[in-house]
Amino acid sequence: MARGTARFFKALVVASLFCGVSTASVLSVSQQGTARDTRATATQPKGTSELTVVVSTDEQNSRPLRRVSVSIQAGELDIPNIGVTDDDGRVVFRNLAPGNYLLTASRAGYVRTFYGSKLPGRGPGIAVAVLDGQKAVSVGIRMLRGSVLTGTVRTSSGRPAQNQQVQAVMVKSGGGDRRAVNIEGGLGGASTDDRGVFRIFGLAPGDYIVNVPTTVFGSEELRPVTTGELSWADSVVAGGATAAPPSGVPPAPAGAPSLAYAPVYFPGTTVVSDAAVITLGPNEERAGVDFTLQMVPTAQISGRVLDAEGRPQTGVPVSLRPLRTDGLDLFSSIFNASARTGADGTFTLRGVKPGAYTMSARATPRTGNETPAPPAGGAANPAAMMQAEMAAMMGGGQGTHWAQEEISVQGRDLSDFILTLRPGMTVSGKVVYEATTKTPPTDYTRAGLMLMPAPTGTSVNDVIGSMIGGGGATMPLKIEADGRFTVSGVPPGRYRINMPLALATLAGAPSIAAFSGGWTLKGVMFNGRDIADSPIDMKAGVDAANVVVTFTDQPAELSGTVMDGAGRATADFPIIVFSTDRSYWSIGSRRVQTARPSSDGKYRIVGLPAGEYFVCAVTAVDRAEVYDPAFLSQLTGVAFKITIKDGEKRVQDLKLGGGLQH
Amino acid sequence: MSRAALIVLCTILLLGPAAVADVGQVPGGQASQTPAQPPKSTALIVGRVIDGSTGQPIPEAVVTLTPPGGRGARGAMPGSGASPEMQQAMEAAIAAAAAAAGRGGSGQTRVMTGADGRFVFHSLPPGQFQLAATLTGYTSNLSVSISPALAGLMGGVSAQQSSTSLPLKEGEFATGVTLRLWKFGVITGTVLDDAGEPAIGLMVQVARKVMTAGRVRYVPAWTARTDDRGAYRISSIVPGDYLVVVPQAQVSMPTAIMSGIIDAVTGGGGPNPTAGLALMDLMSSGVMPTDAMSSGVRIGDFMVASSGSVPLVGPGGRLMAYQTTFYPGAAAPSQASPVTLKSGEERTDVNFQLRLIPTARVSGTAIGPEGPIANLGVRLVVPGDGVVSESEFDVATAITKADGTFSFFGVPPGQFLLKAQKQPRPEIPASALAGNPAAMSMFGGGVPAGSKITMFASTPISVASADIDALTLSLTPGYKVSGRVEFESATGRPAPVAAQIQSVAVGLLPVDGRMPNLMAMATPDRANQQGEFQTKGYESGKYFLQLNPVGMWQVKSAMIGGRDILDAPLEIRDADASSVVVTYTDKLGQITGTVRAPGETDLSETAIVMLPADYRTWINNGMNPRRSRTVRATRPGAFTIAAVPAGDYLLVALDRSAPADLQDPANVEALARIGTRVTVAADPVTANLDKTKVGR
Repeated sequence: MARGTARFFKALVVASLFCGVSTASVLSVSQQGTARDTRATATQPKGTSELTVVVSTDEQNSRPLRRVSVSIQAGELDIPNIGVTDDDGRVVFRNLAPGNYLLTASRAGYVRTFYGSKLPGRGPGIAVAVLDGQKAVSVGIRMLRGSVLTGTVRTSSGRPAQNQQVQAVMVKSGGGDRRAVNIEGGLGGASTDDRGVFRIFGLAPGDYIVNVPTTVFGSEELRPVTTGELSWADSVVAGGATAAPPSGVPPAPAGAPSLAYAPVYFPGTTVVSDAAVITLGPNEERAGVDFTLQMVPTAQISGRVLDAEGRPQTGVPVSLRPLRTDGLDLFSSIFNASARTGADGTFTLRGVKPGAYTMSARATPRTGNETPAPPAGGAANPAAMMQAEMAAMMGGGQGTHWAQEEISVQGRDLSDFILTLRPGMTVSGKVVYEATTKTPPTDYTRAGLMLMPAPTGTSVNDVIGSMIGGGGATMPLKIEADGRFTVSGVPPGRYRINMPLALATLAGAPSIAAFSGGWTLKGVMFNGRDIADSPIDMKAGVDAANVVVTFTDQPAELSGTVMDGAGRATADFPIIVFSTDRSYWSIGSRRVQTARPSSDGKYRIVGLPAGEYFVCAVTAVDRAEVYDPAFLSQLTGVAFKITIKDGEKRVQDLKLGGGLQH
Repeated sequence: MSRAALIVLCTILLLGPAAVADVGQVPGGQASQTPAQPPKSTALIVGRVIDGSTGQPIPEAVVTLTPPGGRGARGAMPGSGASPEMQQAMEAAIAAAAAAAGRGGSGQTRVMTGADGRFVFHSLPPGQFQLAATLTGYTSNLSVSISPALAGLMGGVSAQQSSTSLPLKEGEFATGVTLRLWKFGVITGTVLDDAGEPAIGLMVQVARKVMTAGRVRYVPAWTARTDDRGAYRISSIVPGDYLVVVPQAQVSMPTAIMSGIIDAVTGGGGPNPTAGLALMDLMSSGVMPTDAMSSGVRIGDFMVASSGSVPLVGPGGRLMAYQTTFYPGAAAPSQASPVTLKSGEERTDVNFQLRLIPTARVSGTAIGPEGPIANLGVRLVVPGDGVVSESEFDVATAITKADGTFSFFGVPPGQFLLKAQKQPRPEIPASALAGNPAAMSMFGGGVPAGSKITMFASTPISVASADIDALTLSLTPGYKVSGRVEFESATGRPAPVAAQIQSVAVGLLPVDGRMPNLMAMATPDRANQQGEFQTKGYESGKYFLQLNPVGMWQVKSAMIGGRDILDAPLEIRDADASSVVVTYTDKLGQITGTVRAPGETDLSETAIVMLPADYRTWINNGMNPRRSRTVRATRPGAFTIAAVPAGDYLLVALDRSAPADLQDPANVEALARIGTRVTVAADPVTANLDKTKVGR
């Protein structure tokens, strides 16, 4: 039965991965996924209004565009209705209730278009206000045909490299750094065919880096056969000998060093900062994006894991993860080198490519006096085994103790590392409900909070890597019925305490407050800081006690109307609200939020934690850049400050042009 | 990112990538034995990788040497119904898991051939080594219909081993070792939509022709998507006969499932098992409607998707859909023109012009013995006939709502089977989830058991232009096979202990080669301590009984009513099968031998095919898996076929690139004509074979 459970999980994982890859292919290959951020709505309100949308091509001689999926949704958290344009490019939405609707147009090969957005392929757009009973209203959307990148990938000897995934990632430069821009039309992928040719289409105009990421294919180490080895072998077997003569044979020449394919960036470099940026214009086809795969020398890293008394520790997973990732390569941030220590506590990590890494282990030390572990394949608890495997895979294993070491690898083997397990730290505190109208839950154990590693970078890949690859120390808060909680065995690092909500945020959903059963997360306070939004740095040997997690039923709200210089409501300018405290400018922070006014100029943001904020209207905003400190710093000069109090429902109209008004 | 990405994250987080880790995991505790007199590591292998068709050397091929006791190369699984995207996903998962687990740990060595295709391994100890060559764009196995990585995951048994066995004596020089690779074939063309415009982002797939149980099956294999010009290029096709297809399937899924998943991910109120349970239930009915999740259109309470194209509303509010099209424009496999592809061959202008057809809506309620069934996948499939098996390209899939109702929104006219199955959801205690934060956050209190009944439905349905409403799809409990296990030693060995007896897993494999339900495979039925067993329910049909070996014990017979159902498919027809007596023995026959081939010094490219002498009784039921095998000779020509039940057999030695599909009656007849007869009893027998030169 127990074994059945393990197999069942395997099957389920297969299915979930199936889910993953196939949906990813829809996004990256066909660009056809009507991907969106949705949330349950009980029932869709029905009305009598109608809205006609006419889609045409965005070019000089614009023509109607058929077979376009146009989605209409009442809010970004709504499951949209979708209509398809006819041969005249028209689609009519009927039975609409009055309200504000977002419109998005998608067609394979074209750049997804958000009605009202000034940036092709990017949202949010402007909401269209539909009045009660309105019929003959028509809005137009112009769609840009996607741009194309095509070229050939070859191996170092010039042979076509087949079945290589090539991806084009839109990047933005700033502060001497390049970051992936997280927009749907700004990410494309294709696989090379037997001629080594790839063709990525449907791309939004912008700056791109093209690369072959660390694909699972061919990333294992191998050693080229040298002519020296071959001629030595030929001379050894010369004369028809079929076995080694008794006197022995001359020693074999040293073989070539081990190599592995590395992620490579156009025009043929393994260093991301040397990658060429390709600027794609609208509806442009760029051919000749040709490059060559690169192999890098690999190394073996070996050592031992000991407890504080120097006893070797058996069966401890040791993992290696990149110290920094470029954020362009999701796989490398999730799947890292790992190995398990043997009977004498030794481990060997093989095939490690050049780079800077953190080597880490987590385990509960054994003194050697414990009851022997059941033999493999025996009566061992499969659930426990599964967990151990999962932990090992996610990096660092599980247990009360940890060890960490930063290492730099440059193609030469490194040995004799000693990882000494040290006791993990403890984070403890309590959960509090501030109730005004609702009754606090009788059982606090279901609050669903986690201690999560803070991402090392600002890209989405970094965030995902930090959660499921990176440190692997995502740990649930074990909450008692009375609200007290502890998390023990915490390795050093930077963490946030939050709900898995961060996922939704990084996935492009608007920054919304963390909700739990109708309660809003007000804050997770430690030493005067909210560690839901600003990471806590856990240092070796230092616990964090008296953390207070507060839920409230009175979330603060900021709303108002945006007006132009003449005092007319305008929908043209998105609003950014962000904390005046820079330490809260982290990805997924509840203290950095954007809002797009609807066509009547009204905007609303719910769930801002109390504090001082900058408020600013901008010409266009890309969700990918709202957490970028460089971008936010620029805005501080033109923004004005407001203070939000706990539970405050603040109305703040904004007047543009003639200066922002309070 | 997107809703689709949310689902991905949700499922990855929930389940953790680790559960696949054991796929690539190295068996623990490989303590090497230290003999008193360690043998010298002075043996040597020198060889070359060549193109099997042209004989030309292949540079940059990767040659993997697996040492004695290391993991061997994985074999191929007989065709499966897994979707190509699922296959790709699985392969990626396996490869990732293997990479993460540090595959080098198994002691394998990988070298890359030089410009002349040559390779060398030296300083080797004596022992049995495995050699395999790989290179993208090439296959090492002509009998593969899906990728070997997938076959490995599915635990499939190799139809033909892809690696070369090479026994090395101390200090031996094995020279002139030849490893063959065959270049993939290529099929390219263009897909135009109903208006003659390029169809962008549509999937094109090849389906490999295989024979199963005497009937032709077209097994979905490699795929490609059309680009912005409507062009596609499928460039990794193993030589064979293929149909080229633009598959189109409609999928509808209740919006409530979607909402539940989103709620679970966005933390909507503590542990909320609804979405996870819905996904589990879907899997237990054998479907995973990812299209509806990632690119669905909302119609009422359903998300509706149509593979790669948007659902269109035609005259009268009827949905219009493209029909699954088989090159050169047929609606059914029987009217299609198969394309025969040789190694390295490129077939161009395999073009498609799609047509829109009006569809009907088919809706109803799925009801089992305990009432309406929620989260059930109902499939609409094209039935088989006497020549061609049931199509593996589903026409449509619909998922039931909480009240058991389902709706297909775009069914083209035709004769179909409406099929559904429901496996029990496994109960998982909360303790088994501890330590997996994501699983905990979703299933805080563990996974509760659902209905314990395995049930099935299969109903013919004829669809014309009119909508069909208010259908009732009745699922009835499957039929169980029960009996007991006995152990009969020929050597005086004591019977296994209770714990070992409980490791006996009894499974039924459909003879038609169809993929069994994953959930059913994941929850095997085991014997109790007394050796008694009862399987889960199965639908009526013909099955092979599958039993695992127990330690040194092999299955000898499985008798019911005086018949051995290991030697004749078990036919379940509307009734349970009880009182099966399974007998294990610690002594089965074995055939060892040598292949002779004048002038050939390297016989490692030789396959030895074993058939039952009474093959004619098998030919139309699927070849008896325990009495038919394919093994490969070692370099000197030795071979061993282990665990052979007593009986008469025919053996043929032939080049492994020759067609040796034992499901194909024509092949079997041809092989049988030249076979050497061998009689196997309990003791090992020896057979020396001449490698056939027959121009097959």
